[in-house]
Amino acid sequence: MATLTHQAQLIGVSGSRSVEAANDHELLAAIRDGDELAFQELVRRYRNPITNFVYRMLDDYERSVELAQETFIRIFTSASRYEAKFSFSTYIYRIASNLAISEMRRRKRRKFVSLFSQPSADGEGPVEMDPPDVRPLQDQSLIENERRAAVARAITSLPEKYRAAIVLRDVEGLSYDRIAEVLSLSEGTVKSRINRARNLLKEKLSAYI
Amino acid sequence: MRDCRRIKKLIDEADPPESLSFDAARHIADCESCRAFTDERTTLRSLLGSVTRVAAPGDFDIVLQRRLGERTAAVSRGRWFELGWYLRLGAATACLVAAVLVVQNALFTTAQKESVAETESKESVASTGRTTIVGPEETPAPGSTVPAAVAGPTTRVPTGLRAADRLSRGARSLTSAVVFMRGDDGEMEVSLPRVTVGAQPLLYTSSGAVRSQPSAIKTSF
Repeated sequence: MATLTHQAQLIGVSGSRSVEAANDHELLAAIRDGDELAFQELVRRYRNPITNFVYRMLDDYERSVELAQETFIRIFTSASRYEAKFSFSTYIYRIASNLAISEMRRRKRRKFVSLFSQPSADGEGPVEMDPPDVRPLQDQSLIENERRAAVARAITSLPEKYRAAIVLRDVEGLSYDRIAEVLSLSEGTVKSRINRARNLLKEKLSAYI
Repeated sequence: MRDCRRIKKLIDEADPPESLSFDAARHIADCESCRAFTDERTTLRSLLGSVTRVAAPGDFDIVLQRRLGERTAAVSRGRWFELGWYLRLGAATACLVAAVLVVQNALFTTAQKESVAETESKESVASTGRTTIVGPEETPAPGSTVPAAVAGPTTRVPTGLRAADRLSRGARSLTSAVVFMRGDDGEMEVSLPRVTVGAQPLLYTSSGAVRSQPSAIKTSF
């Protein structure tokens, strides 16, 4: 804690270092001391990755932006309780992940059903319905757009416990050990979930593989 | 086959994907199934990596600052209404229990003070020796007797006290008392047992509503 205070003093408004040069831990220490510039810098660094991550989890842009903002609000309000046990990116992804999973569970309780989904036979939840498009293809960009849309839908259709792991690994590019920290799971469990998620995606995206 | 399963697990968990050991790479080169698995996983990873990355909207920071300001203002107004209902209920219950304890403690302290005051009063009477009978009725005329049942739980108090004070003090008293009895053949002090509120000293000698007379008591002194 004393180290963080020292770091905050290094990048304070009157300090010699600029906020752009400070690392995440230093910025958070400065935020704890009331430095708004440090908070703005932290938001600038992570707003896009966090928004993208939450969007891949929910497939709802407006709600993803709201939850990304909620993530930063929680960072700000709990800066005094932050302990630098993990990297800051792990910390912020953990908050965003928890928010996204809570939102997914809330939607599940309220039976949000996608227009592209149909009830599964085993009653476990909706199964992504991706009927083949039989129309003639227009051009390469349309093909590309359709492929991306299919991948996004396939990710969204994954069960919640697999979705977070596969998005963090193959979309956000986090390592296994950091994913384990973000999701509070063992590394073996993370690897197992990612393997199952890839097998499911292979079936859903067989037309593109 | 067992080796293929191990190699496929290595392929799937390779981080980064290209970081396979020499043995695994040699196996993949020789094994059609593992090579197909490698291609499939590589394609799948590239597909997942190719999804369009969305960016935060242009007003992200402005909206965030507004929401943060609202949240900070709400916190400064007090966290009471942000608590869950169960936390509010728990806090209210704790306050109620604390209030009850405080009231009980205050009542107990008052009763203790009154008891101490009465004890001190008794001691002062004992030192002066001037006592009289105190009870619900006024002091009887000279020569008559005072029925103990009528006198009720009484105490010896200084004669200087006013009648109202004596009555109220006698009614509140819960300690044992001494009744000064005056009969035809002399006087005596009768110690009354400690009684609770509402109880009466058992000095009735005949049934019915007739008050006991001093002659019926047959004092022997």
